[in-house]
Amino acid sequence: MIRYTMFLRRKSILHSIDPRSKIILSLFLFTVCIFFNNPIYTGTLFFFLIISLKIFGKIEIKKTLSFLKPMLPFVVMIMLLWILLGSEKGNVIYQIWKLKIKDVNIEMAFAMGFRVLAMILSTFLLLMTTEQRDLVLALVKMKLPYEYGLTIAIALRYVPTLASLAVSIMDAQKARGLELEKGNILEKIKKYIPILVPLIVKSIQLAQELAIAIETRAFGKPNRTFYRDLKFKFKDLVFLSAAVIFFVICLYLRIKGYGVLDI
Amino acid sequence: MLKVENLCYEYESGFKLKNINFEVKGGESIGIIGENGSGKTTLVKNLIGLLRLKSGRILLNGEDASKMSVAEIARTIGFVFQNPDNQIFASSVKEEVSFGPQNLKMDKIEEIVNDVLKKTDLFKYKESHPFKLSGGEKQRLALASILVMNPKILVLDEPTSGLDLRNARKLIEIVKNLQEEGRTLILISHDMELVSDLCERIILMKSGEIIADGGIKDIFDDSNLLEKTRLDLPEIAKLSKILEFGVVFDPGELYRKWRVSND
Amino acid sequence: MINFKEVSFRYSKNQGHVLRNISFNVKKGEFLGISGPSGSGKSTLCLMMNGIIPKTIEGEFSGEVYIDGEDIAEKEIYETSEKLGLILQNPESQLFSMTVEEELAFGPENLGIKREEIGDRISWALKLVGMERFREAFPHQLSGGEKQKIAIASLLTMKPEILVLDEPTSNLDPKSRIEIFKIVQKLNRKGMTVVVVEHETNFISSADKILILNEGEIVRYGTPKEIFREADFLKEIGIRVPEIVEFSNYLLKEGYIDDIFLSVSEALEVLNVESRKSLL
Repeated sequence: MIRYTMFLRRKSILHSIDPRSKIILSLFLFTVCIFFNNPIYTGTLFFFLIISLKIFGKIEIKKTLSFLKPMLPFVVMIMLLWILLGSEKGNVIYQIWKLKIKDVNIEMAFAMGFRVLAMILSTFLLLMTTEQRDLVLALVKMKLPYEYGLTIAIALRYVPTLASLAVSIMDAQKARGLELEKGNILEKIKKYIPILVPLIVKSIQLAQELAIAIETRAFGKPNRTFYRDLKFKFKDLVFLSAAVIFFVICLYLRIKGYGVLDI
Repeated sequence: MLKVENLCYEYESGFKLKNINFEVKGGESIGIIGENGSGKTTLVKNLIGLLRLKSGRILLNGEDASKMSVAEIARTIGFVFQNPDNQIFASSVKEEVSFGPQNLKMDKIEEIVNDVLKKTDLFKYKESHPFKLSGGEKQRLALASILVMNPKILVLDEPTSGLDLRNARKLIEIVKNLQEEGRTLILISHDMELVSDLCERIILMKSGEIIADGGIKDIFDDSNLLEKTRLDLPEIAKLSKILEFGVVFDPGELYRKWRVSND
Repeated sequence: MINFKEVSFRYSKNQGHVLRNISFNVKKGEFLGISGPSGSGKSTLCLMMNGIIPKTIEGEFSGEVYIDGEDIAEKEIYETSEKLGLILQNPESQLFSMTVEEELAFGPENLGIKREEIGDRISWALKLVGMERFREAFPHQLSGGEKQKIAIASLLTMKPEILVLDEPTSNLDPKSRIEIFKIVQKLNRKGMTVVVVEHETNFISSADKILILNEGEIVRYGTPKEIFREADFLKEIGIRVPEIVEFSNYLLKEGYIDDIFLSVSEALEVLNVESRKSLL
């Protein structure tokens, strides 16, 4: 089964607070990740996030790790680039031919690896604990025009529909002898035309019907109301204050030069 | 021709096909019927290799089909998908129908395409744009684009759904001609009248299993069986059963029987 | 409730008319069935009932359409939609929200209904279509029949007086079809004015009146019995007639019965009486 949303239904504090608070929290955490390049600091941040997700979001550590797994090749690549192309300073600890592996670069590689992981997690934190509809509603409440919010919501809604449509089209063409795996790159690209054309045609058709359906539901009438509401509660205040304090402490540490490697 | 032995398949969602056994002889016409979700389409997708069975065997002319590619199987079993819009991509009817033979690298493509277009009454649209065809014509185009690969076994999935009387009749006439040519037919349909018109044997499915396999009269006369599969007969068949004429779908036939017993 | 006066339409000057000189009336609480072969103009007619044609889909339009006594040419589509709900063939395009609950809220939100009232309407509409359990479901988790029920519910929350359904079941399995038509019949019994367009006449045989379209014109209008007595004509223009009706037409022609029957229960009543007659 393909998952189309990262949202995990749990009963937790993180799930219950206002998505607007979570958007701000997520932005804070993301920024803090950029402050430091010391592996101890970024590493701590990363583990702190995993444990917070467990405590405040009731999301099992195993689940969090499974979500991070697809990101791993990307992280490893960043680490390798740092090891091989990093700073000229530092002591060589290993040398193969002309490639010198230096201690500071290993340190930087870990710092950056953890930084990227922590950045990913600060976004995941929002996506794993917030329903898509609440996210869109939060954006609308944060003064995004409703039409844009509706557009985002519709786009997200039709991802699974179009994905399963693509599978049906592929099946139909395979039954007509289409073999996608065979041939060189140019031939392979050409083979996707019989899949893309029906997909595009049907999407346009769907969009036209959709426009009619939206009109039949009185869209465009002035003075729209909203059934779902976001309420900024006392616990949001507590959560946001904690986030601000955390952010200020990190900012202070950064200004004082803590957690920054000198290279 | 086609032999299925102990076929088992399981989706990740948990739905299973359990121990499917049946044999199809050349020239036979079989209706596969059952409720939505009884496994009809899953079974057919296994037959044509789009899904790969977990255990058991499928023998095509004595050869193990599990080692054949979908394209290879397509030479023997042609599956016409329900929705023609999911496969139409070319800029002319001729080009659309040539797609299969090109994939299978067949000889004399021009000739066989013309032949199939004549059989499906589409020859006059040879150079037309397929998207401009009517619903009934598109359905025939889908049939033509499979038929052109000259499969011995033809599988049709709800071929008349959404068609008006005229288009449905035309399609049925074409299918009957194909039967006379000696082609084997497997028909998936909810339309009992269509099944009784085209098939002499029925495979009845329920929750991933074959619960009956036999002559059409035997199955339709078995009230317990119909109840078990929650199959709903058309009004005329219900009436003819109550009037003790057995299951009759054709109004003319019922009228003749009624007259004989009343005069 | 619905009143068409000499309505004609074509998409452009160089094309033929899709509909020509259409006039008919639907009374409050009536159930009208519309049938016709492919290309007879059924869907175009539906899109005229709330003004999508000619307001959104443009073309050459003449004549007048009145909904609840008001000329809809002078109304916005959202104003007409408050009175008349339109269900289309493909449920996929009618469910565009991320959850069922939001789908049902969308209409009343646009109408500016208060929050508590919307909540009540959602529960009421879900109950009417028997889908209470699906309030939090995502649309891609639903079957075709369930999607169409939600599409109906999402119009019911706008509390329209008229419901128009354009081939609502043509892509569905027989079981879902029957369920959808039971819902439609229930709504009609509760006083809602209903128009159902179907190329399969099975499901409109219980309508109060049937209108037959062919090549853009009204060719027949009458009660189901009046219409189905002309089974040969219907088949000739490409409309499938329920087989049981065809059977009764044979009996009528040969004088075995006085009038045709449309259902099994009706048939049994009529045939029993007849056989008793033959005993005498």
